[in-house]
Amino acid sequence: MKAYREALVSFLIILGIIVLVYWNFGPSKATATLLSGLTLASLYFLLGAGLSLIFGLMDVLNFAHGVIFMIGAYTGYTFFGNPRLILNTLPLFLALSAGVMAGTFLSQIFSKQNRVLALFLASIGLITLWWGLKGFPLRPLVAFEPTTPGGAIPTALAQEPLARMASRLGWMVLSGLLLSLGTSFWSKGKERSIVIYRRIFSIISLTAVAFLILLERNFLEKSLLNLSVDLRFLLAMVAAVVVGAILGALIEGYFIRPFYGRPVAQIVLTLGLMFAGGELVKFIWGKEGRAPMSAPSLFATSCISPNLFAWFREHCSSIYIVGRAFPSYRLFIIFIGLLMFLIITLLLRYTRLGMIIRAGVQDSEMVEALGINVRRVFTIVFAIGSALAALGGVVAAPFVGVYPDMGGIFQLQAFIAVVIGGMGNYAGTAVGALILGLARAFGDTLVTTGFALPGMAQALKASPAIARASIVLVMALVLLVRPSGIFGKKG
Amino acid sequence: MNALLEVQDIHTYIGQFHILQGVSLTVPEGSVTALLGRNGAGKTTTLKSILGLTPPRSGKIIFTGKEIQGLRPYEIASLGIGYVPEHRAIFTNLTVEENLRIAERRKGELKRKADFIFSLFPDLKKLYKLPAGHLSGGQQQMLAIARALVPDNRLLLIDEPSEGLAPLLVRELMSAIRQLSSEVTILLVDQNFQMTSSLATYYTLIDDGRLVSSGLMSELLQEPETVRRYLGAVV
Repeated sequence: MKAYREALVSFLIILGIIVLVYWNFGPSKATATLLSGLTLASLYFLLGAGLSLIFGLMDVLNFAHGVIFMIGAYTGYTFFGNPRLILNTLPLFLALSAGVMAGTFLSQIFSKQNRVLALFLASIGLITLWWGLKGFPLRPLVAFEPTTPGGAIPTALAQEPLARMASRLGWMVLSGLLLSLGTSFWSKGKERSIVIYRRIFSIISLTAVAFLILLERNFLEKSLLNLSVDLRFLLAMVAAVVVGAILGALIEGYFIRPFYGRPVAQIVLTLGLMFAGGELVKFIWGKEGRAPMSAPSLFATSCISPNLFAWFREHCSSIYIVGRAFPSYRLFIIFIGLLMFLIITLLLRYTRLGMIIRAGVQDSEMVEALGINVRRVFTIVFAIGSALAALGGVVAAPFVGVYPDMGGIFQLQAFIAVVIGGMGNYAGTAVGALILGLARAFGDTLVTTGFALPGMAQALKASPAIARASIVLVMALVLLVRPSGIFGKKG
Repeated sequence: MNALLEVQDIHTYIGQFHILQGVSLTVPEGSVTALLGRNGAGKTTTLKSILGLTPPRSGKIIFTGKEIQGLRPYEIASLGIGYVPEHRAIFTNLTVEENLRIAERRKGELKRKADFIFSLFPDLKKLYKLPAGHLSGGQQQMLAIARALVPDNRLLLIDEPSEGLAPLLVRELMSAIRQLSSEVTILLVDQNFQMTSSLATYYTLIDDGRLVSSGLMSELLQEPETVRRYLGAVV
C-alpha cells in the first residue's frame, strides 16, 4: 500500500483537475483544455527528464539545460529552412573529429605529462581552429531563409569555392590533432586499449567522408533540396538531437567533470554557461525571434479531419475532437512526449545501462567500486538528457516559434515540474510535467471562460495573471503537503 | 609466501586531514588477513585507498605484481578486487537479481556463479526477485558479499560484515566467509575480534593511521597486552 501512495496521490490530483474542468466547461471545451495541457506537459517533460536524470545521478543542477533546448529549436529551425547547411557544416565537424581521434591515438606514443607543452599545443590548436574558420559565412548560412522543396540550386552564398572549403578541412584536421594532443599532455598519459587498425580505419574514413561530401556537394545539395517537407523535418529533428547530444557530452566532459562534489561551483558554472549560451545564440542567429516554423506537411493541409483515422489519409492541420477542432501538430507533440517517456522507461528498466543509472542514483561510488566506469555513464546520461531537451526544442519550434528567451522560460517550467515530482525521480518528473501542463492549460481557460466551484451561483473570472500564477500555485500546494515533491524521498 | 597484495607506506588525505600516515600491509595469496585497529584508526580508509576511492598521495600499492596506485577505482576493481563496504551499500531500489547482475564484468558470469552463491547463501534464492530494500540487515550483508563473488575476483575487501547483526547471524556469516576463504583471498576488517581472530591467518594492526605490527594471527594471540592496548579486547 505504502509503495503506491505516491501514485495514488498524483492520480487524485490529476483526476481532481480533470473533474473540475469537465464540470465547468462541458466535454468539448474540457477536452480541448486537457489536450493543450498535454501538449505543454509533453514539452515540459522532454526538458525535465534530462534535468531529473542529471540531478538524480550526478547531483548537478544543470541551469544550462534550457540553452540546449533553445539551441535544439534554433538548429532544427535552421536545418528545416535550409537543409543544405548540413553540407557546409558536417564536413568541418568530421574533419575536426578525425583530427581529435588522430591526436588521442598519437598521444599513446608519448604518454607523459608536460603542462607547458600542453598549453603551447592547445593554443596553437586554437589559433589553427580560428584560422580554419575565419571568414566562414555562418550568419548568412543560418539566416532563416526558407527554401522550398525542389527549389533553387546552388547559389554563391550557399557554397564557398571548393578549394577554400577543402583548405578549411585541412585546418580542421590539424587543429583537432593539436587540441587533443594538448589535452592529453595536460593530464598524465594513460594507456588505453585502442585497437590500432580500427582506429586508423575510422580516422581515414571520417576524413574521406568529409572530402566526399565536399566533392559531391552539388549532387547532394540537389537531392537535399528535393527532399519532401516531412523528410526535411525528420532531418531537422536528427540534426537537433545530434547537436544536443554532442553539446551535452562536451559540457559534462570539459566543464562539469572537474566540479563534481562542489555544488556551489557547479551552480555558478552552469549559470555562466546559461548566459554564455544565450549570448551565443543571439550572436549566431540574432536577437530577433521567429514566428513558429511551418509544420511538416503531414500536419499542414488546410482542412479539418473528422477524426484521427481520417487524418491518417488526409493529413489535415486540425482534427475534430469531441466537437472542436484541435491542431494535429500538437497531437504530434503529445505523441513524441509519450514515445520518449516510454523509451526512457524501458531503457531504465530493462537495459544494463538503465540498471547502472538506477544504481548510480543511489550510490555512484559503489557502482564504480564494482568495476564500472561511472564517468562514462555520466557523460552518456548527460548526452541523453541534452538530446531529449534538444528534441523538445525542435518539436516546440512549429508550436511556439524560436526566440532567445525561450530557453529560460521553458527551463523554469521544467524545473518546477521536476520539483513537484521530486528531484531526481524520473517517474516523478513525468507526473510533475503532467500536473503542470494541465494546470497551465486550465489556468488559461479560466481566464477566457471563468470558473465555478460546485454550488456557486456565478462564475469567477480570473485575470490573466492567474494563468501564469497557476503553476506556481500548484507548486506551492504540492510542496506544502509534500516538501520534497510527490515522489521525493524524505530528507 | 606469495603476496597477492602489497601496500607500501601509503599516505592518504581526506580533505586537509592526514588520515593514513604510513600504512603498509601484505596479503598473502590464499589466506584471510585481518586488518585490525580501533575505531578511527584508518581501516576503512586503507581499504578505500587500495581501491582508489580515496587515492593515496604517496606510497605504492602492488596487486599481482603490478602497481595500481593512481588508477581509477573501476580500473582497479576490474583487475579482480571485490569490495564489500561498511554499511553494505546495497542498491535498495534494485532487485536482488539486479544487485548481482550489475556486478557482472562479462556476460554470463552470474549464471556461472549462481549455484556457488546460492550454496553459500541459500536465503538469496528465495528473495531473488524482491527489491533489495525489503531484505533484513543480515540478508543485505549476504547480498553484499554475494555481489562481490559474481565476477572472477582474486581478492575480497570485506569491511565490518558483522556490524549490527545478531549473534546467530554472525556465526552464519563466519562459516560463509570460512568457506569462501578456500576459493579467494580475503582482507577482512571487523570490530568483532573473536570473529576475526578465528578466521584470519595473518593480521596487520594499525593505530592512528600508522602501522603498529603485523604477522601471524597465532603470534598476536600470544600477546594479550597488545590486543588489550590497541583493540580493547580480551583474548
